[in-house]
Amino acid sequence: MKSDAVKRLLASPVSFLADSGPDEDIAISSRIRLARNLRGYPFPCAAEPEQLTEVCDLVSAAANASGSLGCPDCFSFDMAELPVVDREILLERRLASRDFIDHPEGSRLLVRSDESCSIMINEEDQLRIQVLAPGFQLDKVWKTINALDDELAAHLDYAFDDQLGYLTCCPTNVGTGMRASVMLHLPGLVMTNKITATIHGINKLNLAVRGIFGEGSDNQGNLFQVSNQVTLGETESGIVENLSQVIRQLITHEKAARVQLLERDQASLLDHVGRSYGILRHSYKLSSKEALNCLSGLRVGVDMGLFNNVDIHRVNEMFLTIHPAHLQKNAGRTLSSAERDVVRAAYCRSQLAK
Amino acid sequence: MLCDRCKKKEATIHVKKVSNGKVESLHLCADCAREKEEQGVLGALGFNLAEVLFNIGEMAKPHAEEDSSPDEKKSDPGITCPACGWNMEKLQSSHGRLGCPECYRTFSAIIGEALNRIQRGEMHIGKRPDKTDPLLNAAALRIEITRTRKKLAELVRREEYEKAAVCRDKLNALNDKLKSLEPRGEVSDEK
Ligand SMILES: [Zn+2]
Ligand SMILES: [Zn+2]
Repeated sequence: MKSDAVKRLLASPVSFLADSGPDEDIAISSRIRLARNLRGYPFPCAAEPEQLTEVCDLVSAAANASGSLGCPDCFSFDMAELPVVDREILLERRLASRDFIDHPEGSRLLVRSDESCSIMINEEDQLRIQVLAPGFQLDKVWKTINALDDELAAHLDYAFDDQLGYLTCCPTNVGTGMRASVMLHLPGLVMTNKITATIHGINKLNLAVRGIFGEGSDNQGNLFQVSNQVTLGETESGIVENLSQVIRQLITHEKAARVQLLERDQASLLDHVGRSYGILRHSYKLSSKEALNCLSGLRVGVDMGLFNNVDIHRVNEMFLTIHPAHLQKNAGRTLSSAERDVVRAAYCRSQLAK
Repeated sequence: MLCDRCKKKEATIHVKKVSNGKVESLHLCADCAREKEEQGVLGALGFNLAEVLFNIGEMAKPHAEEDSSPDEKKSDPGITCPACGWNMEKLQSSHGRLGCPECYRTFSAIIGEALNRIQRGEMHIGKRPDKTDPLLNAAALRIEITRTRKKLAELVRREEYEKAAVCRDKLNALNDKLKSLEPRGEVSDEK
């Protein structure tokens, strides 16, 4: 039963949030996605339903033969068969894109049971292979996804051009077909008003920065994702190396900003952290925006060693599980926006009471 | 028409964004478009880069008219992909997306122009599905050599000699590789 599978997914910890990784105080997770297509088939946007089904079956067969996605407890979701809330769960867990869950016909999602590896079949490209790991470790993620890609390539005939590389539906992905990204928690740079200049500087290096929850002044939770933009004319390891260099600098800047806050206005920083904890621990109605901002404050406190009863991995998971689909799935019913705020508050209280 | 951003120069780049059935337009001069592109602002606004470039391709056509109403603008469906039936109209309405791998050949003129602006060159130098060494390809090798040489010069300029030594070794290895591919030379660049 598909719905049981989603429940099984919910019950298991998300490895990229729950496990330890390098530089995890600031870097939450590292991700690489590879776009691949098959020779002889149109891209999903131009394909007939039968062709979409054929591609699903070809990729499933190749994945079953692979080490990473071949295990018997791996998940396979035919997206059109899932109720909307279950699809939203997959989006909130970063296993599927918004576009993918909004166009479920003819598409399938393969997921390793620990959620570290997955393949979206028939998203914009026929394959979007993804590997996610906790902390800042793009090198390791590249090794893993490179090996998985090799295993798949042994069974699939990829559309590849000698000059242009891997052919993708959109020319912005052609070449390596690779997007590498790191999710960073940057409250120090936000609070010292350095974030805009920082983003501007990073953009000049041909890297993209976006807020995970909202852009600019609307950013919630101080979470940002930095990724490469260029996919053609650079090697994969070159992309990883360039991005890693910038991430290392960002981590250094963030640490410096936090030290600056502590030196100049310790009381304000501690007040922010304490109030964040207080609201999460004691409120009875909590909007998603308030929860995200408080979780950011709590995370700073945990990084500073102020709370010995809260583990950073629990905070990471709360960033994910306070979202509507997770709240509703855990409550076992559809919730109105007002009901969600009550349930969200109860959930946060219980998490911090542990 | 004047540029939406600086309101001084003539707008030559017309970007369209279709969201929920509504068409929004942005008209920019070449300078402002480049600046926005560099900042990644176009992407952040949901304006697709490929679409920007496609519009440049459109403007280059002799019969292109300055027309602020995209709904009325009929694109020439002249080129059609023999493999999947994708045409200019579909290319435009899908924000520069293609219908099949063959489309890269069909629309090579437009795509070549796009790649020049949004990517670093037009040559893939990364991984290959047959697992052959990507740098066995002489053209790719030359690109990598040029880049490594620039990097070396930069490291020397910054007096980072330890890193420069590593870079130097890499450059020598690349040159050796190119020599082994082309025994009779063209490796004039080194000495
Ligand atoms: Zn202008
Ligand atoms: Zn085609």
